[in-house]
Amino acid sequence: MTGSGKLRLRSAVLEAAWHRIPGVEVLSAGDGGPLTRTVKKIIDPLVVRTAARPKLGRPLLEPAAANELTELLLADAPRLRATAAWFGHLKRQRRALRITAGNVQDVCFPLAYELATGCGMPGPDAPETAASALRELHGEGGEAGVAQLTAYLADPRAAADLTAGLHRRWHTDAGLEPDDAVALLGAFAETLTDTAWLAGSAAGHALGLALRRPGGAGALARAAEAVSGAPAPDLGLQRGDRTAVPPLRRQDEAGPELLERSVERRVRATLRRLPAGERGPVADLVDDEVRRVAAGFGLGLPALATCFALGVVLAPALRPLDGVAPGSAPGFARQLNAQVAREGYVLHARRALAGTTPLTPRPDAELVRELREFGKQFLGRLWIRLHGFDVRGDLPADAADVRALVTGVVRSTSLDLRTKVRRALVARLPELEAVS
Amino acid sequence: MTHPVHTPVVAADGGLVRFALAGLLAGAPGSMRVELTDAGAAEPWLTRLVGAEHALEALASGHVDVPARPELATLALLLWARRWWPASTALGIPSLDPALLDLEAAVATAAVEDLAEGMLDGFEATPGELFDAAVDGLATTSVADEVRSLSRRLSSWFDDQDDVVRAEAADRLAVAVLPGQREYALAAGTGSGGSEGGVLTEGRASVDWARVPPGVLDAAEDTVTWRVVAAPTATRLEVEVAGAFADAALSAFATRDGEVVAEVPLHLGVGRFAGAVDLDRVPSVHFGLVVGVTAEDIDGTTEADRAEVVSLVRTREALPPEARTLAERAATEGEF
Repeated sequence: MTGSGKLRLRSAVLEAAWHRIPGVEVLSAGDGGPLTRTVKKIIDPLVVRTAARPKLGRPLLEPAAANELTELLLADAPRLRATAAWFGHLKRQRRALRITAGNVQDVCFPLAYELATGCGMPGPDAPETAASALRELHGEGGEAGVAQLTAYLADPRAAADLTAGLHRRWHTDAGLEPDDAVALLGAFAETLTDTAWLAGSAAGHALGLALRRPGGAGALARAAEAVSGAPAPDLGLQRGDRTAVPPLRRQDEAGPELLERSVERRVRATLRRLPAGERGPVADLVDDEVRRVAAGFGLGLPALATCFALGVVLAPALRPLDGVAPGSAPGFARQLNAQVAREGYVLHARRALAGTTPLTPRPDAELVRELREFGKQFLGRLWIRLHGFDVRGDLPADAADVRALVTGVVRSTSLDLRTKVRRALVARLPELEAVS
Repeated sequence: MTHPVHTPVVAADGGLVRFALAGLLAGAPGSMRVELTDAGAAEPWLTRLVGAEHALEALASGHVDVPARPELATLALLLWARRWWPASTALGIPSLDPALLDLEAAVATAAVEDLAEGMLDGFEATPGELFDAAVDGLATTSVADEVRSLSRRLSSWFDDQDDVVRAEAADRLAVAVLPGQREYALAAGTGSGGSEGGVLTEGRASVDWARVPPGVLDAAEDTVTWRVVAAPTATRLEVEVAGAFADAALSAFATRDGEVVAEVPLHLGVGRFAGAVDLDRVPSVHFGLVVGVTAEDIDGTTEADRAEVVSLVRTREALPPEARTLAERAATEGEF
């Protein structure tokens, strides 16, 4: 452990670096540091990408991490200045368009950064650009990339070639037996060491491919139960006993299952994620995605598929509504579950939504189901996060990063559910149950 | 274990801010405790709010006690009042106008945003949502001047946020609000209106506040009366709950040794809830009665919990007006 004397508060590091960037006043707080929302909406997710670099997101930073954070921020100074300039335009246009949804900073900070990325400093046509970006964000106007994608997949010849290519690549040869793969993951989940992580690195693809064989779903469920110590609930991975080959187009999807999502849906996510300037032509994106779909769990990089497999074996133990995870679950799973189960809203929901401590005159039964499916929702988010990493070529560096990644996804799943609970209660402002 | 009825909180991104109920209700919150649930998410606002030294303490131990900030204390008090205010005709504690509480909570939330931007995670509702909920209920009020002044403050806050639509709505409210009395509480119940026949057995019970939604039932003890009556055609269980302020889906559950033996759906009447069911057979022994949404075990309030809260709330009558919420001042003015 490094002596705590060397650790610095993250906000002090950010503030010091921020002072060296001129022209960002609208993104700054009274003390000259970045606004909290600047940190949450721009610096962390877009500049530093703390999801992929968890060491730079900790509240206390080692000197090396503090230096890296400072460098990343200063290297992006021109774009941050442009972001500040774009934010001014977005504010004015938001007023003119009388948009009221959401907090102005929450909504416009990421958009300003996106415009700064695509256009640099605002020019003479900035007001129009800002207005159309706002209209698009609030649901008006289509995106050019999506239109191109739809047109491309609607071409019968391209569709036939792509489908044939996908079926050719759709292997079921797992290499590693599911039980062996799960044992490797179980060992990692228990010890969380770099060695165990490396040893398990082939497990993800092996498990993903095993799911495509007859009896795959049952084998995976038994294996996951063995690791998590809890009966595996429906995790929403696939409809049947084995993974069906995903269709090309969204309209041909049989259901919302994660591993059977269409190529189109996956590429649309990429279009949303990557700014137009940073991505290739739509045909190339589709080719890349078809290759990715054929890999285990639909993730090309083995380490990412293994992260997902880890999620699959942890998910059954994530049942915050039931309180404590079984003692047979790995320590990491118990800890994740406890973290969510402790949240005020879960303590609350455990009674309120089960209809015992009612907050609303007529409790909402629908929400209970949503909350009971925590593991399933966690996996859905984890997969989307990993898919984004795969598209960008980002990788968790070591066991600590994997742990931070999974923990972060659990937290965002929890925040999402919290929002749903809140919506259900919005008619009457909730008491937030703080039970110690 | 500290029951939520005793622990007013404000939920922040990555943490909770707790206050001691007695100090908060006495208008002297003293200190507040910041508890971290996600240190990474909390650090940006935490260091600004409590300073580097206290932030380090919180990161090391998971919590820190610091002098209360009035903005946060005010918001915590309003949120607590929305859930637990023990309105009771029987005890002489007036019920609070939910629209006024909404409006005040909107202003208090905006004040916390100004104090520590980005700290609230939105779970407690935003000034915009609170204002939307309040605006329709405030056309006439006994505290029109205060509502006008709060509306103007909100209007300027919304305008700063580029929320032009709400800024205009708040301005309209400031212009339109009229002095007058609003009727929002129902009178206490009158006679039981029970059916004819011989009473086989009867009893009284109290409502556990944790089992019922806020603002629905009178907070006093012993408001529930029940009796088993031998009617001409069947044996009936009749339940009446005196003192209702609003409608809700409630039942009374008769229990024996922890088992529910009968459920009586309750319906809102004039200032009371009442209901009755036929029983399969005449209960041979005395049984318990629970009013609420279900009979399941919950982290309930005890008679001692409720008595303590009632006595703390009563001491607020002696506070200077500026230490009381606008909803309380309006309720008092409405009474006298």
